[in-house]
Amino acid sequence: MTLKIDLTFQVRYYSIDFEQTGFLSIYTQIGTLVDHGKRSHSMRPHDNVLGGAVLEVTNLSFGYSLGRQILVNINLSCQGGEVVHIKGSNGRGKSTFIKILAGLIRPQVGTLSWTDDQKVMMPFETCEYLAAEHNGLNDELTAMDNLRFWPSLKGAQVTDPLVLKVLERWGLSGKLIQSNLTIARFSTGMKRRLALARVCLSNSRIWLLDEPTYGLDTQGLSALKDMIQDHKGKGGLTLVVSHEPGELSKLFTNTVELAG
Amino acid sequence: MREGASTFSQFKTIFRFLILSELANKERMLAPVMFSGITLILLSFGVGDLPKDINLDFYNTKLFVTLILALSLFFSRVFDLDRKDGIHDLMKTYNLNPFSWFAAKFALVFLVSWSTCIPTFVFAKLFSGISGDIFSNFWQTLTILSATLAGLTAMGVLLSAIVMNADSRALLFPVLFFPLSVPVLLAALHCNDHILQGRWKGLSDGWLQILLIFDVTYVILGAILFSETVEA
Repeated sequence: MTLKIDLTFQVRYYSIDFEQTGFLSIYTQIGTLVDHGKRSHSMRPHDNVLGGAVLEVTNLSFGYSLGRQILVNINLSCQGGEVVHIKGSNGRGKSTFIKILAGLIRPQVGTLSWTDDQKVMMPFETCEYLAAEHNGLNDELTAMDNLRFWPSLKGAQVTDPLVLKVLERWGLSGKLIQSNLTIARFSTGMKRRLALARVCLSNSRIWLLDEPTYGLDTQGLSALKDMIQDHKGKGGLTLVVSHEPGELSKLFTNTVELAG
Repeated sequence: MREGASTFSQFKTIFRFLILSELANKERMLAPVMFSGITLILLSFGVGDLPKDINLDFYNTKLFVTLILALSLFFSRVFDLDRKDGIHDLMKTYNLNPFSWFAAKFALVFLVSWSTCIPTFVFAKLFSGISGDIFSNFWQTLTILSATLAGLTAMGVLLSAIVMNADSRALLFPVLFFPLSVPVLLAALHCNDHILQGRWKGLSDGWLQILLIFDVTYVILGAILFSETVEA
């Protein structure tokens, strides 16, 4: 049965049915071999309008141990141009939920589908993920080296002026960058700014931001608000996990509360 | 921006990132070299002068044993970078071809292994008391060392990926690596013995084939199983 579904997906569309054990792995292997190098739809240039991204979550459940389900029957539907706030008290599964959306964890029950211009996608084809506790930065390298790396992995040829422009937006240009300091010398807030600059450069349609405000000062929060506002204006979809959204709450179009 | 990432462009991107990281932290490269230098000096002075025929065997053995111990130090840290600051998880959220990831790791480790291999070879020759040109049978020796490194590197990268998220990886890596490296090590020892005794043509007796078979097996296994380990 799994094989039959797989072949259909290769011809027409992709979707993820997590109740089919091991399906994601099978898809990933076949999909990687078949599709790699042929995709050109995952990102668009900065000045283009993003759009058409839709997320549908149906009856999604997950638990780390059999006795305790932390996510129970989650349903969510959102689309481009929305900023969704995911909230809930500690231990309710906010970060777990966003990791599931990013494709890092498989839910035990339920379905999840990403569509982009009516084409069903895998999470990694359309999302940019920012973890709560990590920034994804190599602290032995410079900010420029780090920011060149991630977009290049998605096939984007990022020019130095573009990277500098994004760094400037985040208040990280100037002497710090010119003197080629390694990330190890950066403060917590500066590292967070760099991680957000990486999200900004990625130009993915969907941003999954887990506690993006962590370590940011007032200027950083303002830059984050502008960044999400721009993304929203271009028709991008943003999901934000945050305990203290502050000014960001003005941007939220939808709120999901995880009660556990 | 131009969009669309081929397997080769992903390989280039990861390889460049890894090389920059490797050059930024020279301690990772120097530690195995220091280890091999000290081990060879201790072995040479500890054993003292040996009869010529035994000395040749001893030289060969200490060269490869020291090399494999020094390289295991390097291999066990291949994924240190990926474990930093959630880089590994973030890479998993990208549309990354596992083969390009494995190939980049393999190419990096194979290249950097020479920075351990060459000094170990030179130290071993210097402290062995073997007469003759250090570069005699250069190409033959280079071939055997390349084949040895290729097999060990493929196995080292795969095992390092397997134990990356294990709490006891410092113990687990050598426990898995040393038994699996025995066939490569034995074949390399015998091949080099043939070369040292000037019997290069005698390699057709099977040891070279064994070395190459294990090389191919380990490289194929590494390429196939790597995707399973990084997605786990």
